Formats: sequence, structure tokens, C-alpha cells
Amino acid sequence: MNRLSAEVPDSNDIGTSVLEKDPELKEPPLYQVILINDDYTPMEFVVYVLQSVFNHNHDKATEIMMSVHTKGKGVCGIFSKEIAEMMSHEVNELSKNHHHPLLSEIEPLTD
Amino acid sequence: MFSKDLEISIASLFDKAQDSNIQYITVEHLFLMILSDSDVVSCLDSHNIKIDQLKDSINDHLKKTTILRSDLKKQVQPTLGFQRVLQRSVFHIQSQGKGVVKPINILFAKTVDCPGVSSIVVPAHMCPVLN
Repeated sequence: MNRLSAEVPDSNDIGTSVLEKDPELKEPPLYQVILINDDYTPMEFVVYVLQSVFNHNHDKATEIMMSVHTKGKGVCGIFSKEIAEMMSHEVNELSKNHHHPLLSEIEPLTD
Repeated sequence: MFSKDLEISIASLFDKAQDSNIQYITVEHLFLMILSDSDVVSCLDSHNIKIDQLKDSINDHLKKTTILRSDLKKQVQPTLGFQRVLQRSVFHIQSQGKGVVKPINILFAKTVDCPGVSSIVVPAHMCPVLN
């Protein structure tokens, strides 16, 4: 008798509906395009790449180039992942076409 | 390969990008384009996704991230992600021998690939449904 009575649903549960929680959303992370220093690419070419791909003016391009030269790498810009990937690809293709070993890569922005 | 309507839509996407001076066409542009397709809308509807809200989110994201062309001689370029999504949708159709790629196939390919805003606003559980 005890077992049967335990199977009877609690009257308090009848008619209760559960509303599914909305998924939590967040902004996609931004990525920075990094230029990596090497001993062979001329400084002028690095400035040219920064001006043509990233649309930096000559002063800004020179500043980034010097950062690449002295610190080993320099940040060219911060973009969404897709754009950053595309710009890095453009830099690498441009370098390859001009027979320079200049390389760029993308890194997630951690803040 | 692509359905006639899809081909026309993609061509018009490039024309619009050219007119608006946009340098890169991204997966988000493609996603926004396929949101006017009835199959895509009914698929998203069945997952309780609010289309208008989705469009607003993508438009906001595009406003913040779109890069404009500085040099007008430069051609509008599809991003690598854009190319991957189209390529994946073609492979998907070819592997099934189903004929032509439709916008709904792009929705599937995009859900698998895209790291951007569109994969965040569309729940990941859609993948097995569309597969």
C-alpha cells in the first residue's frame, strides 16, 4: 500500500511548466595582426606592407616597423577574427610575391 | 553547382559591396543574405530563433567591424572564411550527390565553420539537425 501511494504524483507538481533559459551570448573576441621580425626583409618593404594592407600613414607605419625591428614583433591592427585572418594572409602573400621572408600571424586579444 | 537564385544573390552581394566601398566580404554578409531565403527562415524559426533580432545583431556587428576600401582600385575580396563556407557547402552537396547548393546548405556550412558573431547567435545544437 505504501509503495502504491508513493507513485501517485504530488498534486503540487500538476500544471507546472518549465521555461527554457535563453542561451548566454557574448561578443566574439577580437584578434591582433602581428608582424614578426626577420634579418632579411628590408625596412622599406615592411613600411610599404603596413601602408598598403593596413592603410597606415607613413609615420605610423614607420613606428610599427621600428617596433618589429627592436622588439621582435609589432601589432599592425586589431580586427574581428575573419578580417585579421584575411589581412595576415594578404601580408604573407605580398611578402611571398616579393620574395621576402616577412611573416605575420594573428593572436586573440586577451583583456 | 550553385542554384540560379543563389548565384544571383552572391553576385549582387559583390555589387553592393563594391558600391558601399567595402573591402572584405565576410561570412556575416553571406549569412545576412541567406536570411531572406524562406527555407532558412523556416529552419531558424523551428529553433525559436528570432530572425529580426538576428538581423539586427549581424548588422550591428558589421557596422563595427567592416573595413572600407582606402584604395578604390582594389577589388572587393571575399575573406578566407567566406570561401571556406562556400567550398564546404559545395563539398557537402557533392558528397551526397544532391544537385545544386541552396542557401540552406550554406547555413549548415556556416554553422560548422564560422568563428564570428553568427556562430554565437545561432546555437551550436543546430549542426546535427541540419546535417
